Amino acid sequence: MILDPKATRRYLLGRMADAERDELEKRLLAEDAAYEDVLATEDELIDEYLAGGGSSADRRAFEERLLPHARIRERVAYVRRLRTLAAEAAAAGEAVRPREAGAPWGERVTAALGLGRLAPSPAFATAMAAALVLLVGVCGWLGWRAAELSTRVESLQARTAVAESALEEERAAAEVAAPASEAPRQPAAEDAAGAAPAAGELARERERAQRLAERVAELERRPAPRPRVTAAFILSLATRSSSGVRELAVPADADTVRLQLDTGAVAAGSLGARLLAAGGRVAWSDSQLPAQTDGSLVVAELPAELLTPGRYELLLEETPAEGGEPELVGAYEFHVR
Amino acid sequence: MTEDRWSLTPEALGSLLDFLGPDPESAGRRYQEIRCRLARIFEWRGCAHPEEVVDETMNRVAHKLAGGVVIESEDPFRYFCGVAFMVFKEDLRGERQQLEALAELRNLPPPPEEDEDERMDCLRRCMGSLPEDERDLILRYHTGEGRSRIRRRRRLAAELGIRLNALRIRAYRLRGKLEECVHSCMSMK
Repeated sequence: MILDPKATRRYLLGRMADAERDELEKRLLAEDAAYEDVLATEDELIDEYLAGGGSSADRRAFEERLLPHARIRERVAYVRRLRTLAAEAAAAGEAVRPREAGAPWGERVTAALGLGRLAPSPAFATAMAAALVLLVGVCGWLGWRAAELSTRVESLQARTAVAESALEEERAAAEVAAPASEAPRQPAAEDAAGAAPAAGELARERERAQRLAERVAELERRPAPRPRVTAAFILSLATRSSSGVRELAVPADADTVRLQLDTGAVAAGSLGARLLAAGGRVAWSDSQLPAQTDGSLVVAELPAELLTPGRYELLLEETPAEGGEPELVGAYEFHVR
Repeated sequence: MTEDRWSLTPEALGSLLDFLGPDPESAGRRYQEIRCRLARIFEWRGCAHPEEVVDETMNRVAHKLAGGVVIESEDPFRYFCGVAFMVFKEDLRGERQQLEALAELRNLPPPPEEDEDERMDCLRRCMGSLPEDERDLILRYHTGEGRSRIRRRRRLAAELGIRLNALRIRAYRLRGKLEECVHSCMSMK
């Protein structure tokens, strides 16, 4: 590697510090390999721009700094032609080539549902996959809620059983004490010897029963703890290219917002995410998102209180399994109402 | 730029080429290369009119040489670089005006594409003339959007047994090869 790809990218998008930039430019004039490296990165930015990739800040920088130049526009037109040919070749090839085991999740689902012929376009397959995932997600959430409520009911029933058992013991103790008082009188000496301990024990039992009854009454009076409320949304990469930005309505009583990101593929490395608020401020980040267990879906859970009304962009970054710098693999824009 | 601009005379250009090397042909190539690279660098710096800055740079160096100044620099490229950055800083338009000029360029209508069909036709022919492995590489490289695009490239690099950066350079060189072919094809139309 001649130059650091991330540094070259910063240079082209106008984000490099002056001293570092001056040093790089001296190398560009003197070293053929370094110059070629930057031109290759320039093409990468063009390809990424045409593919709808990169963060919105990157796209804006590209449009403001590079796109005005006639040379870059010609380059954009050239790369667009290449992408057109590549799309044509891919469409022709996929019609006869059997599905690969490593095909993207969306394609495998489409094939499994027998919709191959009906869903020729990746966008349709993605939409179908997203709808299916939404359905599974809703069912899963309902199942979880039902299980939670069932657990609470069992817990209350158990507490009630304990309280009833205690009251039963108290009653039984009282009944034992009562017949004892009606039994034929023992000789006075035995009365005198056994009466005091029995009375003390009975008093203790009555106190214990009383405390249990009060405790049960207190528990029943105490309001049940508010269950945690999680609002879940699915964001797909297709959302960015559709008209408008995705609008999310976060309930006022939500504690957590779960964002399920449809990435279109399973990651080979580890995934992290950063949430950018207005002005590019990093409002939240997580360098180790939970491993994907549901195909191409990645889940990011954020405290709901962070998502005040406004515009946000969630950047998804993948760190290769063999190590190295994280690479931007997806950007999801949304607006919180 | 300075008001009293000095034009590049044939004699001055000759001095400039001599400075770049004893062999006129290779000196001429170095001259074009320097111009090209400087223009790119000024584009990347956000300069709205990079060619003008490059012209001024060449003029100043030639002016010095024509005036008999002996420039002792181990690397002519670095010398031109130093002069170029000075010219860039002196640019009277300033950063704000550069941005305004760039905005004006952005608002210009796109170039006419009457020959788009012909260019596509040439590109198809040139693609067909590539060896199969190169054609496969460049088509697979430019397939896909978003996350799948990056995944495909990683897979492609793994299949070729090279790193992602090496794949990037290889794709860049293939694009250059195709571009030259398309240029030749268009010139014959």
